[in-house]
Amino acid sequence: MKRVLCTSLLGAALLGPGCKGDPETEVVHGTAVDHGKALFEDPSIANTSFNSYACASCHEPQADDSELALPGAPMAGVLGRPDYWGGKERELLDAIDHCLYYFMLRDQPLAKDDEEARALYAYLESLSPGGVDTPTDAAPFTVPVKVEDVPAGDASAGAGAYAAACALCHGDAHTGSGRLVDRAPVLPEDSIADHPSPGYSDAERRLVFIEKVRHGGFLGYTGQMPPLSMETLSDEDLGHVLAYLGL
Amino acid sequence: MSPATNAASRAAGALLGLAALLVACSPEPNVVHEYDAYAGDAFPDRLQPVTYPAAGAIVVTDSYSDTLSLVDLGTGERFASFPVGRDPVSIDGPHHLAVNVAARRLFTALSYPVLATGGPHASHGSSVQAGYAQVLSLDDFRILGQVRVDNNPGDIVLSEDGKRLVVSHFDLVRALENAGDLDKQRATLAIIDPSTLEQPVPPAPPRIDVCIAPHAVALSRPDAARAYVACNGEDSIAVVDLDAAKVLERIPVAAGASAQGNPQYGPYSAVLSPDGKTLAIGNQVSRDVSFLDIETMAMMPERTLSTQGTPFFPAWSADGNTLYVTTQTPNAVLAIDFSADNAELERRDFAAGECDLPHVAEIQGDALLVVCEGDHVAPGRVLFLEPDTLTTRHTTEVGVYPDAMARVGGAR
Repeated sequence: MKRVLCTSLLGAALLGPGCKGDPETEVVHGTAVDHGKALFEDPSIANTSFNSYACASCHEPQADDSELALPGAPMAGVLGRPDYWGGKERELLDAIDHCLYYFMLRDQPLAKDDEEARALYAYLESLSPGGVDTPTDAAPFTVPVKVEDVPAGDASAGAGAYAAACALCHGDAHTGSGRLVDRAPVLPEDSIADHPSPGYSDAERRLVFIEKVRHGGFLGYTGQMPPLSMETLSDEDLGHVLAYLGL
Repeated sequence: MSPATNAASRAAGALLGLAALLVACSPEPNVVHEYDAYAGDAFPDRLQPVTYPAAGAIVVTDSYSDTLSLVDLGTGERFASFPVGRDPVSIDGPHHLAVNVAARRLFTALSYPVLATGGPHASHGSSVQAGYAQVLSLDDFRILGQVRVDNNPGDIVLSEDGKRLVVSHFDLVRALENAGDLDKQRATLAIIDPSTLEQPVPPAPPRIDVCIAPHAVALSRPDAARAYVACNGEDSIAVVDLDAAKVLERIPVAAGASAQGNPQYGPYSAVLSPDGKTLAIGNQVSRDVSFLDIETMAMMPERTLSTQGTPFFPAWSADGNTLYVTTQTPNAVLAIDFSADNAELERRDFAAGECDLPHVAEIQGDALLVVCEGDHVAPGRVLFLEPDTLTTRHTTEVGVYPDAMARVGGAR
């Protein structure tokens, strides 16, 4: 039976070159908003194969679209905000370019007249009723320069906080299963391995973790991780996460 | 792997390969997306012009909050602040500034200070990151351009004709890591053509090796042909020919001063008198102010003024007869009669919280303004003082760790 199947398959294979092998081209038409949405969800906007993150990895279109605690602000109303990045950037395109550079490894900023930039704007405009002329509140983004230990937390509460704030990039705790990229450290083992005892005390390891969560790749740290602001992850929830990770 | 398992595996592989060929005979269509172009005005310019008060304003660099504060010289209140810098999270540390009011441009140096972050992974002069000189518009404070300079930019000054921007590098790391090697210890002056800063890729500015930990820079007036540089690590004033790009001489701030990275005087500030004939030098280690006669290029030891506290940036009165000296520890400001053998005219000691760590003084209009650093965590202050009595006329809060000011409008 197996041989028959193989013969049939072989015959089919021999016939193969006779198939009309060139696939047909299907043209799908979309609006500029569709284009912007596709770009928003596509890591290739960074123009580098080293990037695996999309705008949507960190930003939800609307507030409360999910249970995730993403590091970036929701995009609804973004055009009307007076500033971005906690007040450190006044222009939307520059704010976008910071994300592309620091987190998505794009080496050239988007220019205002780039087709991709214009399409992204169209999508963001669709999420901003009233457009640029309707002021909205700035999205709070508080990153403390100086970090300190957080209150002891509860491991069971930490499981939920970890799932909401950490798992998307780092995967499951202790295994990294499901993480977005292989280079995202497995938590907490990889972090602990980088800060071994006796060089670091247990308290210092907690602080290392807290510092990385709060500062991401900034303020003396490196890497692609975005900072998790006080608004994204409270000190209380961070304490729960540390308890869940056994730190 | 057993032979049976191996054979079965090969058979399965062949089947999979043939199946793949079959699939290729019923190809998925190529999907090509075509999108409409956006027809609107994407990323419209939203920055509004600044409305300056009639009395004029000063701009203050808030070095630990990455902002520039605008203070109304009429009301004494801060009426605006704008972000500055390149990094949206870390502290760029805008340190000192220079303005060209006619050209509507502001220049500041980004120093990237090393901050105490509280973590085990972790101040002025200790950065290991290249600094930048950045230019902004005085009309709406948009960032127009920047160029990389060396680590730890210390002072930034502009020639009167606006054609030469000079940045010093107060690089204590270089001084400490190269102890014993004078050439390597010495940091540079960067000489920038301001007109290049707004190019997409400005040319790298030429550097002049000047001395160990150069900080304050005063330019000769009106030609800016020479720079007088406070060489903190060499107890001297470097006289630099900016046209020839060379150091003409290093003048010890006191007889016998010859430090090489271990200063006994520590010149930090250097402010030229209104007539351009006298340079007042604040020495942080010896805690005094010394004076250089520009015409003779000789120090004036008989005029050296002991200040008790650590002197920072002093200010001359418009007639050059009075020198106002800010000091830290104790926090005070002194009014000195320079026309009469440095007699102390007034002294104001600040109570705790009133003006912590006064950094720089300037006469603006009929007021003596003092920028107070504060504790480098909470907002600092600008004090408006009566020049004669040194009593406080007004106080306003600015950003964190303010360290310089410049006037940007209004009649003087």
